[in-house]
Amino acid sequence: MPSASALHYNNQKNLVMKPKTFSETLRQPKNGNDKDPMVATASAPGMIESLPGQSLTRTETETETEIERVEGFQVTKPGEADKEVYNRLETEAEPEFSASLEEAGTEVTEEEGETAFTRDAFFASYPELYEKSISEVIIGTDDRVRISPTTAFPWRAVCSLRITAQDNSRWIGTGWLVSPRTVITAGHCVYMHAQGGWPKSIEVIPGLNDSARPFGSYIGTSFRSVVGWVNDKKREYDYGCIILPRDARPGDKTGVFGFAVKDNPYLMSAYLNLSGYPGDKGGNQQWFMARKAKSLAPRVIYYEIDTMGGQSGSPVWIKVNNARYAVGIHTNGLVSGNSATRIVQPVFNNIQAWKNQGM
Amino acid sequence: MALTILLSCFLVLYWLVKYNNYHMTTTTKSVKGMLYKAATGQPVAGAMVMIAEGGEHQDIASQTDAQGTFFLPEIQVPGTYTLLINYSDESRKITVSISKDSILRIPL
Repeated sequence: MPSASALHYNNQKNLVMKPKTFSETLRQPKNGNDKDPMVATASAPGMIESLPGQSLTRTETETETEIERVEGFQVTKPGEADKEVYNRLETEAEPEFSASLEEAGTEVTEEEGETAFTRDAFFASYPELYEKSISEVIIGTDDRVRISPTTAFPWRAVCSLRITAQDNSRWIGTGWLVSPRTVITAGHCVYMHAQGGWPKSIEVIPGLNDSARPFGSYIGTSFRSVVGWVNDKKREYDYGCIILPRDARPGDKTGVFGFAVKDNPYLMSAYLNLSGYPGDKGGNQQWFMARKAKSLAPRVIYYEIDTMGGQSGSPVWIKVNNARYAVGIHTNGLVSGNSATRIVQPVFNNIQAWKNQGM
Repeated sequence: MALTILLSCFLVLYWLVKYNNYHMTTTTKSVKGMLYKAATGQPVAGAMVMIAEGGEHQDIASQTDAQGTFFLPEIQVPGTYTLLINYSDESRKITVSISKDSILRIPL
């Protein structure tokens, strides 16, 4: 099925599929999944985001064209890919969009004595020491470090997910709290195209640590994602959330992540922190790693942070003083570079709306 | 002249195919599999199965049910993948070639 962008392009000039000029093809990667992602010029955050291939210089056609009606064929119109899709509503709160680029998290006041050494806190101040320390501590090529205990922030705001799909298959993933009841995760954790769509339920376990569930566990059945994922299954729109029931408010105890839109120069120079629940460690332990980004695309961040199955949905965050801002949602693994759905303005808006729904 | 025309056609075709003017969809699908004990043939429940190496894949892990059934997330097929299976605190890697109609049967 042709992509929405290809169809849009096709409809510009009398439905004729013209070959692009050589220079145009150089600027147009395939659906954001190109093997050599470009460092794109950062768009102004306040602007409506545009994907590679959607020419910023296209002219308005004088006559409207129509798309052939084909049963079962859905076309996502430009601008609708980030439109929210949900299975059920748990709240009547109106979404409020702001023009800001940062949403601060909250860290619940620590009880006396922070027992967990928050690795990112130290190395955020002395990043030049991080690489050296990892090479001294970790033996072999696996550079992840175990987080234990998980009762300190931000580790306790990272949640293990136990997903029961519509076809009763079971999966594990990771999510992170942005409000008392809102857990952000990968779109493919909350909408599984090959497993019947929306899951039956997802168990959310903040700060899971082997058999310990220091903040309890909660069952979520209300999910959110976007048209670009649910309808089009596009990697750039692979994000979503779980809205927990009204009486399930783990974020009140754990604190919550902030989230932010950051431009290319910032992201390329910042250390990215990633923590989640990998299946190769049993799925019950939280493992962390940090690196700088390898490359960027308009809606994807690529990095060489070690991850394994089960870490889908993990937060990719920056630490600024004592504040944590997620800048991506980890989704994909690949030997040449794992990747996250990047938080750009439309993504930020949706996360903010979902956050409000879970207050 | 003929050579020029042929070369031009080739270049046009190359651009069309490579840059999706004519959409060439990559086949992706979720792959079903089953884990069983090699000695007894009994299904292995509660194991984690995930992709360790291969093409780009969703970083979600499947857990086998009572029948030992698991699914790999949507992956490009055909393709060769290394699966990592975590069961009873042990990990094992196995490389499999997956076709469009594969149903994996993996002994432990």
